Amino acid sequence: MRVALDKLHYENRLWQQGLQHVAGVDEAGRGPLAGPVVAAAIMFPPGECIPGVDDSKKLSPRARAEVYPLLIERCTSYAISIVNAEEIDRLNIFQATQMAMREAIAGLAPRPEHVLIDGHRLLGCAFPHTAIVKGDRLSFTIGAASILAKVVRDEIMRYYHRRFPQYGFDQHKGYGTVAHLAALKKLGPCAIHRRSFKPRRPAGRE
Amino acid sequence: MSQASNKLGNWGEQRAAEYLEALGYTIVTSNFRHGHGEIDLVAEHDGMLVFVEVKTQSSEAMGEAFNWVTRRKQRQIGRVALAYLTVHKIENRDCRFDVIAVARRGGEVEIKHLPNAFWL
Repeated sequence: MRVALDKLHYENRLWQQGLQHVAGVDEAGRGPLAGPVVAAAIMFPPGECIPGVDDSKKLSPRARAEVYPLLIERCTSYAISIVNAEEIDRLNIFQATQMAMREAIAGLAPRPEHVLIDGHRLLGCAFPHTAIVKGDRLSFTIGAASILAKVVRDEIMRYYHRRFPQYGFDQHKGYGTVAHLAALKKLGPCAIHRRSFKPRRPAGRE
Repeated sequence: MSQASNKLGNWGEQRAAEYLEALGYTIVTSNFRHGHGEIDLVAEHDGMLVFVEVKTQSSEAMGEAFNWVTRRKQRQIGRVALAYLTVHKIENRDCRFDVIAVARRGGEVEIKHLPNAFWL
């Protein structure tokens, strides 16, 4: 059975308490073998809802590109944080993702009164917050943040494609596709590969 | 899946099977299904069991076909392969995962074969 989702469920509860600045935060690029992890935070005025905003993974690149300018236009404030591959290797991916999300939230002006976070938890978050598992499809604001993060990260990967054209970053965006694995095997890692993410290989071979 | 894309996929799988047979592979099974997953071809070569994912390209716009075999797809193929081994009670056998990209360029059929394309 399919029930219509109230994508403003979490937002409305906070807006009804009189809060003006409710933010959503999400990240893109935790899984890939190369490139940065990008977090985005965004806030909308109470009552705002843009149709077509959903979990970034459910939208096509074209649909994301179409809704992106609307998000920027109608939001109160947004902020992006980028943590590069080198830092991901130094911190580990969990810490790097958490840091990116904290930084994105800190970049919002005015300061948010409450933050809706995609995932299980955000350690060291200085603001009142609610972590929502699968928040990117349950909450409009988190969904908007997920689109923002995804669009920015894809753009970064297209830039890296021009610098390292042999890997196909424009197509797989650093994710572990067969094409990417084949290029890695042939060429070895480049400057933006996460060294701590070596694809697993069978013991005793290669 | 639409009937048209299914037909195209079957066409591609047949081309891939012919290609492998020309290389001396024996096709053991095609379209082995388990749960939500499917393995397009299972072949044998030099005593090794080869699980083959066939990608048939319908348009240039798809870009590099090998990019459509994502991590998620790789894991799915791995799960079905494991089911295949269990069903057929196969143990201690060397296995490998290959990907074959089939495309039609003008009148020509273009086949790209990537042996040992991924690991689990």
